[in-house]
Amino acid sequence: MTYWLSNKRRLRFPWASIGRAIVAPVIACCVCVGFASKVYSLEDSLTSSAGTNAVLIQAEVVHIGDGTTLQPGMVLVGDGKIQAVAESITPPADIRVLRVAELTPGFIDAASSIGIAGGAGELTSEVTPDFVVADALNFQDPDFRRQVDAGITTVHVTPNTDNVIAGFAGLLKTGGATPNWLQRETGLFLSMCNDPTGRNTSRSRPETLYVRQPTNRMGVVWILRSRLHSAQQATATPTTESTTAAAQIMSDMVQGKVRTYAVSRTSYDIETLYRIAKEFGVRPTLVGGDEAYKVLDVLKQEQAALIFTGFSTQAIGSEQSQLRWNTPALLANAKIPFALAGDELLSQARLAHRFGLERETALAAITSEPAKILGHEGRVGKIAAGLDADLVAFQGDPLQVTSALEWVMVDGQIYSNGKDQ
Amino acid sequence: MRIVFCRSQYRGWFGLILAWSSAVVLGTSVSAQDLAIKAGKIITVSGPTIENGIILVRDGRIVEVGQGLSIPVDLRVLDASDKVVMPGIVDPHSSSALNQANERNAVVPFLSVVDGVDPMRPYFEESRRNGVTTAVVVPGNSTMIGGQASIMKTAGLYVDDMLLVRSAGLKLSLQPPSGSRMSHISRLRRELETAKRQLTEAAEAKTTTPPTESTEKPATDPTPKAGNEANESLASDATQDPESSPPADGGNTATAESAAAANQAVKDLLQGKTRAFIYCQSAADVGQAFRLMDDFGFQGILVLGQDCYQAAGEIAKRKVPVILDPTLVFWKQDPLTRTDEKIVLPKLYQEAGVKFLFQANDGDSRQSLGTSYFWFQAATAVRYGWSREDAIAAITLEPAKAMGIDQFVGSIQVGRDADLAILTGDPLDVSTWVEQTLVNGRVVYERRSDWKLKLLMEAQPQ
Repeated sequence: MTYWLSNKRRLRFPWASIGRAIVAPVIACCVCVGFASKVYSLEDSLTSSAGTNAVLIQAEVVHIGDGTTLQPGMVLVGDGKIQAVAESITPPADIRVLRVAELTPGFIDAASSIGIAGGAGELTSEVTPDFVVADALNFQDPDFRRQVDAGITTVHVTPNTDNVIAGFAGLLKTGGATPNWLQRETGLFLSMCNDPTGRNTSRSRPETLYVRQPTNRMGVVWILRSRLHSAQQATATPTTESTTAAAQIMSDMVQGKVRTYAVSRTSYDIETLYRIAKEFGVRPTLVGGDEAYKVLDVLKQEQAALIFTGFSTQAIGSEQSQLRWNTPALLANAKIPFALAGDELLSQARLAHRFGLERETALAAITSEPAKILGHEGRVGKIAAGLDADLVAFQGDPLQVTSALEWVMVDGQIYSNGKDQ
Repeated sequence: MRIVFCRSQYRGWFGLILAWSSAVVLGTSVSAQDLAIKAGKIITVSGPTIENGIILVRDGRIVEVGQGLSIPVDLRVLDASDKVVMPGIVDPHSSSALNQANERNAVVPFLSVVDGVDPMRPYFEESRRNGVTTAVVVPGNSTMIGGQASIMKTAGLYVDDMLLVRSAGLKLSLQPPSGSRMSHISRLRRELETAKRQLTEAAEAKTTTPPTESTEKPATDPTPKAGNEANESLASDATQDPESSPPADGGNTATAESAAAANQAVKDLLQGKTRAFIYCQSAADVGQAFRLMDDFGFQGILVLGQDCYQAAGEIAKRKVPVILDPTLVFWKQDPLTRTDEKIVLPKLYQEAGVKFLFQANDGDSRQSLGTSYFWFQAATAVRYGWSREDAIAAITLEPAKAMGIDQFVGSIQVGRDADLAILTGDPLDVSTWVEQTLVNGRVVYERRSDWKLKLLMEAQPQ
């Protein structure tokens, strides 16, 4: 994923490198242990880790999240982090032991819209790059608790698609008393789709007809291109106008300093998006992708990653897009990195599996893949030592509709699955 | 459901292909369907599951089921020895078979879905694709007295070929489409009172014959008296009716346009000849439904909205069949405290001791992925504590029993219609597909020739 250029303004997590450093040897150990003694003593590390909320989880199957499994497997959790993962871990004295059937990483919704207070579209302007979702987030919104209940432990809260350049999304945990941000500003969201043209339908505000643009798809492209062009000009020859926050962000964007996400669903919008992106040297992550199956070559050529929100059991999607039920499987076959996103993640993974997606790949599409696409694979998305203790325990095969969630863990804190279990 | 016509320019072709394939199917249906099905596993629902069994079908009916049966030479063999065979699913309540499910007029008991069903609706095709072989087609939820429901098979070109029960019940809705609940219930009561009065008058008119028709116990004393006086002249048609023809014949006589015949379906309901499908939006409506059933002495099946779970205890006492809202799991906020509560309908009703049936969504809602499939609904119930056997019965035999058609459909046993779903695996498994669907012993769906499914599952890795 070399095309994601680092952004000086945004927070970078050392976990990425630390995580990788820890995960690799531990996984290696697990494999070795599997063949050898089947007992992996962790006494040295436990003295430091068995502190707060230490718990040892014994599972018949541990779905690591990256496509591999441990059967059986044990996961040691302490201080809100995963301390160790192995086929077998000798339980330290007085530690709480939980036995579950199957364990997966917490799910990550890479395109969520929960908790934005007071609406997510700005009516007075079609270009609002200096808007930040995090500033309007209401963490008391019951949707966060509902997401925890559904196994979704991390959400990428994105602005809506009414604005051509909509502002910054944020990435946070769903659990906890206060928002636990992984990144307050993950990237700038663009709408390369028809949604911004729907804004002029208001009859109660006739003046908006003359003020608000665009009114058609060409207008969306025009606004996007002209703003990117201005930003490029301003970067080359800075003026006083280019010192505003918005202008600075746009300038950063065309210089590749700001990560961008673009919402496009139909094949022609996806093609237009990458055409514009190429013109200005921007590398957007695609969000939507209903008709991605039509442009697999384009996506491959652009080394695109896709946050796929077009999963449905219908034939027609948003903007009258033509859906294919096995688009996730086609993306996987084409080796295009993608995440299933947009609520009901577990049902999406289950039905995507029904429609041809290999089972561990289906789980990866709601765990490690969104983590990678969002650039936080060092914190979340897998069951590996050093990562946040975000776990989902199942009473059976997680991909079966008949399997209930037993509990959900966010940052080491266990949330039982409502009253219904 | 827009699956059929996903590209408008292909409409003409779709129509042609549909018409052609239907004609072929119809042609074969003329001859009797004799068949022997070798099944890897037979989920009979009514009895124990049979491994490596054989189902013998003659004239569209099951004549023998069991292990190691000898197959008569004249029977065509359908080899499903690596498949699971279950009874065709029975959909207990659907309005998707109708182009327009609700009427502008609030009181239309004289309507029948038979006149509105379009066998070419995607609903039927989707049903066959998903192993649904019997559908109870019911008028929509927002007409006060919405017309008569029918029970039909899901395969055929003409409604009359598909009908199992022509008059299966009268749809009542307790949800006011607009205006107040008071006026809605009041009007509904008035309509029921009118029908009751007409019945009483008709019985009184034929003093010579014993009142066999008045099965009702003499409740609501004051109204018939008042009605008698006011209605003497108005209901002259009604009083003439029993003279010209026996009242049991219903409204399809020469005087069908008369006011008396118009509400014949309501009279049938009050006389216990048919049942009501009563849509209840809220728990309070459930109470109203029971009051109406008590006051007028009729039987009903409750079609429950999401909030009706608050009346679960009351429903359990009455032991009436109920059909749940398709959204089985949802969140509800308490209006006073804003406390969030997760509502799991199958669990709540089961704990209250209510037996219930499932509905499937039309499938449009992105909010409820999967709820358009009956297997998904049944699997959801298993997730919340049901046994697999109960869950499968709840989409086959139980709805058949509730509708009084279990001697025809809902189980695999001798004498039942050969309505079968042949599956690739366990019915509740997420990766199981319907391979073939049989209605009356003839194959009405085959996955391998389902080009629409193939299109939607384009290039599925095998």
